Amino acid sequence: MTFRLVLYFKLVKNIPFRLLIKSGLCLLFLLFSSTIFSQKALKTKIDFAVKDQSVAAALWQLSEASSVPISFSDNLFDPKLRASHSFTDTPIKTILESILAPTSARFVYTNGQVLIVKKTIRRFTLSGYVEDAETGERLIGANVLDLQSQRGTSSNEYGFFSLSLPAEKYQIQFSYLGYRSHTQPVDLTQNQPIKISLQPNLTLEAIIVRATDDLPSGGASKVASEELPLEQMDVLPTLGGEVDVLRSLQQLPGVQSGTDGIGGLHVRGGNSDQNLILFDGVPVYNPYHSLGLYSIFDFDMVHKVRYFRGQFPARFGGRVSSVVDVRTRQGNNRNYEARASIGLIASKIAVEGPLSKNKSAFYLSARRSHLDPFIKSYTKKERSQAGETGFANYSFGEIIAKVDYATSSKNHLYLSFYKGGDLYQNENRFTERAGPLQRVYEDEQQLQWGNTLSVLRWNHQFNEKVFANFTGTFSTFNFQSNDRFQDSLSGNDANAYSYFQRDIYQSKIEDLSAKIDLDVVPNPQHYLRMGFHLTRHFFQPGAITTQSDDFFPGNNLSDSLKNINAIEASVYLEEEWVIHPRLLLNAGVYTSLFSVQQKKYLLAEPRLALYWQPAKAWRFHFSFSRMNQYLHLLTRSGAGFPTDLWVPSTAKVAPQQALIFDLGAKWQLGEQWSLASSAYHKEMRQLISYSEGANFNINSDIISANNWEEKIITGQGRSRGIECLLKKEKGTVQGWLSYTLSETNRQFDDLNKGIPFPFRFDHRHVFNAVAAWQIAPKWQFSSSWTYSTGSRTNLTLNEWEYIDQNGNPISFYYDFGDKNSFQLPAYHRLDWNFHYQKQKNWGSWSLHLGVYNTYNRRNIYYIKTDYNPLTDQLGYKSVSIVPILPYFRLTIQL
Amino acid sequence: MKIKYLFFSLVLALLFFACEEDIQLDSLENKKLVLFANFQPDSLFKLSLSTSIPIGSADSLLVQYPSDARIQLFKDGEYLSDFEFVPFTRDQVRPFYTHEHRAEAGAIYSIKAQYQNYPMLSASSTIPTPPQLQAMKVLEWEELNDNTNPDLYFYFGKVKLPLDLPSATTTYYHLLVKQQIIRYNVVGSDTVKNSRIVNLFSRLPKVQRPNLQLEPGHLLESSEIAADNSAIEVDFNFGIDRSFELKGPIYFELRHVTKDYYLFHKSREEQDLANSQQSILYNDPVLIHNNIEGGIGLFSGYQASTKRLTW
Repeated sequence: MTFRLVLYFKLVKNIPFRLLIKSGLCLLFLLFSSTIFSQKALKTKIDFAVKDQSVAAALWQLSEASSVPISFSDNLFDPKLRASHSFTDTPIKTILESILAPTSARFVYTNGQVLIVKKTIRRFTLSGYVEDAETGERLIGANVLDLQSQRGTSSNEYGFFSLSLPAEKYQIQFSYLGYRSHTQPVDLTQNQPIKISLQPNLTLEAIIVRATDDLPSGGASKVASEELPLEQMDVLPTLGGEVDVLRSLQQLPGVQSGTDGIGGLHVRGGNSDQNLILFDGVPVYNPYHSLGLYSIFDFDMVHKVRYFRGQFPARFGGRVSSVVDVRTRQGNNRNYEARASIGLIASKIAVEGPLSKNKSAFYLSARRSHLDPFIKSYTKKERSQAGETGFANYSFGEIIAKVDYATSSKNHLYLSFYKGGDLYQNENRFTERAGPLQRVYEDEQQLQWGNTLSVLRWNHQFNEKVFANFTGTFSTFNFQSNDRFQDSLSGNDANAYSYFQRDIYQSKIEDLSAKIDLDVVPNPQHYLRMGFHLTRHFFQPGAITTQSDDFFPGNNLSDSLKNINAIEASVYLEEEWVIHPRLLLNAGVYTSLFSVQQKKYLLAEPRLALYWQPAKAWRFHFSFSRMNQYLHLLTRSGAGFPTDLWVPSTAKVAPQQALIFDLGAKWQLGEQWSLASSAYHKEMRQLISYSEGANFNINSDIISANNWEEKIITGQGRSRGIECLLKKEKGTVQGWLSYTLSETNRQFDDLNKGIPFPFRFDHRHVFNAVAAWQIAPKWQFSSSWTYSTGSRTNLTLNEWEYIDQNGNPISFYYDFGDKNSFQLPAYHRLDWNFHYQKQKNWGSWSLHLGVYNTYNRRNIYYIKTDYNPLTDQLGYKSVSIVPILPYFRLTIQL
Repeated sequence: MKIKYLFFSLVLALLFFACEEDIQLDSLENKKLVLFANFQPDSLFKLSLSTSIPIGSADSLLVQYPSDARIQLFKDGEYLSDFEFVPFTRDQVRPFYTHEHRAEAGAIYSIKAQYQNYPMLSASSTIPTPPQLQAMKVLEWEELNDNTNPDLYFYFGKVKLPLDLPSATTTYYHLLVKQQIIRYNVVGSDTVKNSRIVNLFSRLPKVQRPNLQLEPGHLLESSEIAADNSAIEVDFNFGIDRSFELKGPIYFELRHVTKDYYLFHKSREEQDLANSQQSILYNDPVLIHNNIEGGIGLFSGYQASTKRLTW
């Protein structure tokens, strides 16, 4: 018996589920009750012809002609697809194959009938690394894009990318800021490893090619962060000729600082300790030289800087205000290179090259300030005129050494070491004679502080979709003060004396850390990041040793603040989900456990960011982040002194917390201009402050500082604002205008009568204008102007007398009014820079000439009291530190 | 004009709009009235009123002590009457105002003060519950004679003051330890004594861990003050010259004070300390807490318990 059946039904979404189930059961019944055909049925040869028919119609006719039931759903086929065939004495199987060839369907012969089903779409993964063609250095955040479907991804912090696509032929475009785009044809028939080398864009040197950050190829981590264009930074005006990463950040919206950068970064009303400054993924506690004038990041060693201030991916944690992720250069594994430069403030040299060609490279660089001979000579002369000997001196410097080795195509080892610091010396000696008496006085003071970082990293690619990074780090921050004082009188036995005292103070933080970070890319719609971090913190807030030959042996003492050990463990899970080509979600959670002094804090930090790009030119975002911070900086001044103490949360001092809401839009105004704006609201809790008047002073209060927990109070802060950034990103003139309107305050129950008061760095209006003009192929001119409302402090013109309850006058005191009630004059300055670059057979050289603070604005660093003995009046004197400062920098590259 | 030139010119043009600005000291606050009053149960209200003076002229001659200010007293929001001015007296270095009303525990007292064109002052406070100072215990006592001066004696002591501090709420205490020293001289055949009190020290403990630290002061040399929730151990030393001094009793006065009282005196001590440390230029100035709206000072009640120790 033959049984002929053609099932022709439409699987449309509005068919009720129960009806579908019933249909399926009927189909199964029919299938099992039908005559069992052998596979030989499809080998039956028939004559068959169709002309300009739909595929469905062709199949229908074939079923009629062959007496073989064929079941299919018509939505399997493109209605526009036409079939025209003519077969003579041809097996049915061959005819079926021909009809279905141009479709995405295939047939299955079962239970005497042919079922037409959708072809299983096989996906394969294109994975590998994007690197610099000339140096072999891995490129971070390079775009990888299928030009037809616009699906894409970007390379991670180690240049790795993974893109899973259906097995087809593609044109994959690789692009990166400042490099020529490269389009690679790819026939994806299997998982395919690939290494792409991009050529630096030499023809448009220092003119920035904007990398696309459209969704979804941009990825949330790219659209959430500001990426500092290093090429542009190199031609912008600088302080003393030193290009500086953290100073450049101050020209972006939402970032504020003290005078000329002193006092650190204050991002969206946050304290300076609330920024996670990462040096190749390792947190740095004091990332500054010269109290904040310069950062520890020598520009020549910087490879990539990404900066997060509003939308925080879940892989970052530990600070509540911002993340500055600085990645340093890996080294050239193809050619040897050397670079040397000399500027007004510092000189530096860098050497790099292959240890094993294309596999291993080294990078060595050193920088040192060279003003110390001048400072020493000047102060020596000055003291000589005062009848004294001695000098004052200051210098800073650092070295970095890196080695990397690709043990295989899937394994890469990196070893890096950094050591840098500052040194301040002050020596003063004088001799006085009166008859037979001779007094000899000597006072020496030396302050040293700096960071040491060691990082061992292993990249391992488990497969084409899973990338792992294992990191072990050891970092320290040390501060040491060494004072020696000697005073003696000789020549008269009755009055002779000799006094000697030496005080050594030191504080230290040590972090020993292990991290595992995994990137899992199952398909272009999902990008999973997960990881585990474990850090042992060791805090030695301060130790003092005093030696003296004083009459009182008790003055020889050695004491220290209580050392504190803490363990911080964290896990995170972050998912980047392309919900729709124009809608992207980045969500995750960072959970941490902090164990200190028998107290354990277990806190979860949910993060969410949604990006919507309704049109090519428009993009909107909304984000919510909760952040916790277990470390606090005890400071009395906010000036970024190295004496400020890092202390952990303890049983009594809870972690800092922040809730950040961010809503923004970006509008692409044609090819050259873009306008971005964000509104934010930030609530900070458990902020710490010294209670009013509580003091910590090295040497004298070291013992009482042991109870620092008793001296602090906790409060809260709030910041809200609107930030605008208008950028011109193409053309011979490029630059940006940024404006921030913000309000930040603090509230502590035990300060200022509990009334909220303005934050010290509550700069209501901040405006930056930056422009770079390519005058000629070798010449560039740039200029920047910065304006911000003045910082806040307390000044007074009044004193008052304290009278005790018995009516006795005790003493006079200053009346400073409400907390931070006085606003300093506005900060502003204009800088400009000429840059000339010349290529030579042996390499290249470049020259920077510029002026910092062109109109010599006396921006106030601090205000001190000034007593005038003629008028017997006390007044105020403002102190400015950086007047007009012409500078140069000459760089030679071989 | 091409837009790129316009953009670039805009940046350069900012140069011409920029200008210097000086600190406008005129914008700082003007002179203020300064008022102090501490009151305890069953005592008359007594307050001092003065004016602030320009900085750098810490000369008491410039301080005015208004005699014709109007100062009103309110109890639980109800006006009682005005304070009366009392000029300089032999025992009172500064003039003061007084009120016949005797303070009562539990009542809320408010004042308003008006003088010439100064902003009106207002403040309010209450009297806390009495502190529970138990019988003290002498832990150590030693008398030492200085070999170089047979009349000079040093005394070392340590006492334990049991306290009944509440554990649930934060309360503030002021501990004052006073040594009476009686000076005498022989006039003819008569011995004339001048009794005086020397403050050994004054502490402002804040439960649960009283915040005890050293304070520069006469006769107080060194001590480590142990403290816990139930007692304060106080050890101290002092010296007298027996050729003209006699040692009298030591008084231990524990005051239960308001938070305003505590914060005022604590920050006042710290400004003293900060003013002595000129080396840290950029430090935040120390602001002294006060609870006088429109002015400066402290208006606060307290309640004390005193123990006397005779050596």
